[in-house]
Amino acid sequence: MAVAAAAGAAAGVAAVAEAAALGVGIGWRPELDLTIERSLDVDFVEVIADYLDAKDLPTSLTVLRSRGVPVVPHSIGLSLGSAEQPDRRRLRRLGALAEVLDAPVVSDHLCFTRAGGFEAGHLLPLPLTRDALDVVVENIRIAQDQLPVPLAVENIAALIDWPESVIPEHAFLAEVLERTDALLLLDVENLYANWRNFGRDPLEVLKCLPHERVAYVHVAGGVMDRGLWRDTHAHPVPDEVWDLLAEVGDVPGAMLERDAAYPSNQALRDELDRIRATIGVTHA
Amino acid sequence: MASTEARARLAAAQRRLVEALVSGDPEGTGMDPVAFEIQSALLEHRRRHP
Repeated sequence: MAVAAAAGAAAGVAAVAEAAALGVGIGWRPELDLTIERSLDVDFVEVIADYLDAKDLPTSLTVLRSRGVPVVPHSIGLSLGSAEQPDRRRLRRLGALAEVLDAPVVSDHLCFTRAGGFEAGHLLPLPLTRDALDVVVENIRIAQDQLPVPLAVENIAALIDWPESVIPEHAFLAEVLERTDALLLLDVENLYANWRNFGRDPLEVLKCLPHERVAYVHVAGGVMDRGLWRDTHAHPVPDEVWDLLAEVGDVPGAMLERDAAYPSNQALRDELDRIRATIGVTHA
Repeated sequence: MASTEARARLAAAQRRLVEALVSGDPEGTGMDPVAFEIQSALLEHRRRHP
């Protein structure tokens, strides 16, 4: 395990260097395949790994890979924060996808999506406790040992908050990264959501996280619903999230997430251009 | 290393939350009822439209 951990740390550092070439990207979705392929000028794409078969990739992804566009598999189903250990079959599938896409990094969330055999189908927050911290650290190490490329973990947006939580979110996340050498997929809209929903100061969170471990950044929109911010990926990026992105500074890459209510190609181009201008990423 | 006890405690807590969300009843969770209602509805929507 010690050797594997050391190898994982080295791989993580290498991944940061590799990720320096990511640039500005977008979440690849079947509804956007031709738009991305023909009309958007992106440096990389991220794909939802759980919906793909490494042996039967969509044509659009094959075309993008043939052009040298990096493809990052993003999982929504490892459930790294579950009390159970991560499912080996899911890890093998994610690893196979990373290999066939020659991906520099893979990612998933700091959350749980299943418990006691029940698949929630949603990213649920962890209780910010010592128990949960120790479990998620061990689960991430198990995942890292099984994956062929470095793993980045993403901070999530939450609606509900556990009354049992005793560790500040930024301290929880920072300790996870420190103990696992995992990379960080920083979602600035999720920081905004947790500020709106729980009053967690996003600037304080940014100050406490290890900037050098950021693999790339998610940028998205959401909506207020009965006094709470919902992370929908179906609305324009709000001004406050653009402001937060500007606070992040130089990062290896940043990308737009849009999952529904797809706007015009020009509206997508405008948001991508604004990401490029905001974080100062040069065209890879 | 996470202890067996830590995993067991976390498993129990996560199972209780998920059961509450599926039932739609926030009683005993100590969570904001509006947030709980929205989260519960999102789960149910996903169950019906996987």
